[in-house]
Amino acid sequence: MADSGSDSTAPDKSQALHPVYTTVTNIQNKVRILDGIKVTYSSWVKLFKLHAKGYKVSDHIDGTNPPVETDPTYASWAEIDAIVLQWIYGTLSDDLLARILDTDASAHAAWVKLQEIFLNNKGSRAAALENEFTNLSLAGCSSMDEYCQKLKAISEQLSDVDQPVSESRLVFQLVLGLPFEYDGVATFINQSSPAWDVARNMIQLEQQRQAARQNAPSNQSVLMTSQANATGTPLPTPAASQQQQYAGTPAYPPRSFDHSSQRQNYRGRGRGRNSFRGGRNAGGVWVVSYILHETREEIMWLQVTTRCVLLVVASFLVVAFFSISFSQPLVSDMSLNKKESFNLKTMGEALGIPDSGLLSLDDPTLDVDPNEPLDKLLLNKRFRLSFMEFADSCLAGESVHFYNEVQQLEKIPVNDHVKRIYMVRHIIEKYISTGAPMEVNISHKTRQEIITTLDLAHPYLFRNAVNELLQLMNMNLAKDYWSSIFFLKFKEEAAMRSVDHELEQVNGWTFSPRPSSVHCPDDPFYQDHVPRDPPSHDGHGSYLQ
Amino acid sequence: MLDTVVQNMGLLCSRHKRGNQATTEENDQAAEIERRIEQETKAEKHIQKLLLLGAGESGKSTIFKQIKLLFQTGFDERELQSYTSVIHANVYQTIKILHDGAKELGLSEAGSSKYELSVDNKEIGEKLSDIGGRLDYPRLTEELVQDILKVWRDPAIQETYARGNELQVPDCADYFMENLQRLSEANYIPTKEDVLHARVRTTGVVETQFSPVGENKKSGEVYRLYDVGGQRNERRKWIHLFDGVTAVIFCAAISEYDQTLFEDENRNRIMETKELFEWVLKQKCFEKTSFMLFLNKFDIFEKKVSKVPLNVCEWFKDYQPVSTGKQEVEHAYEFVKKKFEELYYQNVTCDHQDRVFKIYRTTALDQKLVKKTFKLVDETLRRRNLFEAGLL
Repeated sequence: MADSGSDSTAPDKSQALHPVYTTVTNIQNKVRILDGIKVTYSSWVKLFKLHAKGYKVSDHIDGTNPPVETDPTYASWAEIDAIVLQWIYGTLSDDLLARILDTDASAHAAWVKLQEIFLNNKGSRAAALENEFTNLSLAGCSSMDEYCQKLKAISEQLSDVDQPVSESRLVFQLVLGLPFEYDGVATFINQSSPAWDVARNMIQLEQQRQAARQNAPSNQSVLMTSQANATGTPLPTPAASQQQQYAGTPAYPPRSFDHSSQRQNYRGRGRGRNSFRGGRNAGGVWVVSYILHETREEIMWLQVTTRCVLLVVASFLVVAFFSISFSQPLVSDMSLNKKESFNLKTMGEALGIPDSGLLSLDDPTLDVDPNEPLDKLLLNKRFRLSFMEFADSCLAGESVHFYNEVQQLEKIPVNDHVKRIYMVRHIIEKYISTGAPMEVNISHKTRQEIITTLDLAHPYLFRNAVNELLQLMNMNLAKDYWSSIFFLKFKEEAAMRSVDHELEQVNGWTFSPRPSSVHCPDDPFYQDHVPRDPPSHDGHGSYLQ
Repeated sequence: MLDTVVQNMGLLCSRHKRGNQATTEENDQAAEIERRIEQETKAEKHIQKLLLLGAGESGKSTIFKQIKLLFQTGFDERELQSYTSVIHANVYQTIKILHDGAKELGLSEAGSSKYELSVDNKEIGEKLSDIGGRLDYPRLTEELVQDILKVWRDPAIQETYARGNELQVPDCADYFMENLQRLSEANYIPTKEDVLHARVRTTGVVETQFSPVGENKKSGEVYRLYDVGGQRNERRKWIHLFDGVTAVIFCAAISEYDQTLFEDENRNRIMETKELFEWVLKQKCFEKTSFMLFLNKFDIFEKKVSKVPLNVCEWFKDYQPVSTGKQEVEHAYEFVKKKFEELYYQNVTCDHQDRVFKIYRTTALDQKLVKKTFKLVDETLRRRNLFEAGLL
């Protein structure tokens, strides 16, 4: 594409006005001030060369012989040379400028002088830089961005002193300086030895993921510790932390197109790829490049740059997409589409299963007959929540919560495999797998059956477990429920709600053997299903407002 | 108690409206409230907290039921009746486990027809296994009992039952099968014995309050007893009960040395109990807590020892049988007891030197034995209280 444009559009210097004269704007917007620290010599050179190329004055700095003074074009050459010299002077820090400033010099002379300043004492500078390079770690930097930028900057300075750092070494060093939290991604990078940008992107994604995980509410943490204590064996924590993600927050932060950062990227585009701040902005850069590419067709260099950027960013996005979607396609999908999913309390709500949220006023009430089988009664939502509250109060809530979530799973259409698998995986991680945060009391065989299944979408996957737990609830919990304050409350409410229903006389309530005193602030089964008061049994259903 | 406080507070409020000359009166009221709260906490302090801990199926809930029978009102007819469905469920589940177990054993030992049901019983077995997998079981009828007995007496099922330790056959299987006829009677009301045998997996926490009254009619200490589930997932809930415990009653079913866990069939039950006991001993909140170790299910242990050598369990692998019969049982029991004793002293640091540790041989089903044991526990704990108060 570069050659297709160069011949046809190259203007004849003698006829058309040289581009130098057309758009001389503030040079500092394009080439940053060279100070040797924030902007290294090599990056300044790159920027300046790019700029010079764009204005067709590369010959003034690359040592091409100037036309002899008798040449008719000499005058215009000298004019242009002066402008280029101004550009150089205009992009130097004050102390550098003082060392270079010389009115009689040509742009090329100044260029060479600058080169000497920066590239002298190569040996000692190289040694110092080398040392800095190998000892840099993430811990020594304030952020991941800073760490990556520093590494890249040092590697550039190293190539300034003729000690170029190969890309693979750079990537290796990047991984080397990471703390152990990044072991997973580090191993992956070492094995696949990707390009610098790809590696950096991968690490930043990992960082975002970890940040998202830390922000997730840690409902289950108490349970985890007590569980760890209780079994006396170390827990498979990954499953647990995964659980925390599921507790409501998506695994990845919303990857919105942030407009301000888009602009930033646009301005910083010239600084090279370092300004791409991870995959989240890559999309924005791509869009901007595309627009530029389509609208400014007359500017050749812009065409070239934007096309390059388009290519690079597109490949970025592909890598980013795969690295996310391998693990949690739907969760990342959800976080893209629904920002409000941040507030969702249950997996059921997150998956948009109807009837999974709070009680609504028009939920049917039920005249409960204790002689009816429990599985029939539990189909009523009011009853289920009341029973759940009771079970939670005597530290046996996990069975009811499990039943509840399986009911929600049943509401997902059988052909919606993705949602079903997500719900199933959520249920397995939360209730079934060994050491799960709300592990249920089921037999070894049933558990193994579920864990080793090859078909997560199987409609009867949880049937045995549900049966076992219904038996458990039926034989162990139900009896105590009928004599508990929770059932009393439930009856009262039902009576209050149905006007014609006469308030039944409650006679002969034996005291439930289930403890009402075991209410710890760190109730392991505390869940936000029902916004209830801290366990005070004031006789009024607080979740029906 | 709370009611009185609320009432008093109501009084306070109304008095306040009358004017502030009642300040002294108010102070009196406040003092009264304070006093009552103190009284209540004192009364609370007198209640001794007992925890029943132990792995799954170690007999915690049976002990709990015994307490109800021994020191409380026992079970009224309604409560006894509520156990009918549980007992029937136990029967169906047992048959299902045995039937499915026979199938599995037949598969794993191909070529051996030992586990093949006779042709007539095959169909019945399938039907019963199907019922056992259902949620609501039909009431036992004479007809069903005949079917169950046919299957139960099938040599293949008996052969499977002999290997019941590999399956999760409940201990009550034998008892209920023997009494099957009675269970199916139309006006069947479970007996105390039946209720004690009924197997219900406990989930969560159950509590009760009792006082073992002695013969001399002097009211003893008041105890609040907590029963918990024993499976692994249930154990994480225990920690919420660990504060201020007077004594832990740790149940260890010593007959389970050849069985595996309900929740993990790759794990020997005694090995699990051993580790669990160690873990409980190490708990910081139990530094001053007395430990009553119930070596439970001695009745089954007695029968098993002669058939299954004790050293099948890894922990007891250095056991050498010495003789036969009753002597051998005693020897084996003493060996197990010594093992637990050693375990206890290995896990006691100087911090808990003054805590009480007693081992009792129990059969939770044996009412007399449990009564005697609790008398001893009560005595020990009272002596310990006096000792702490400096009276002994």
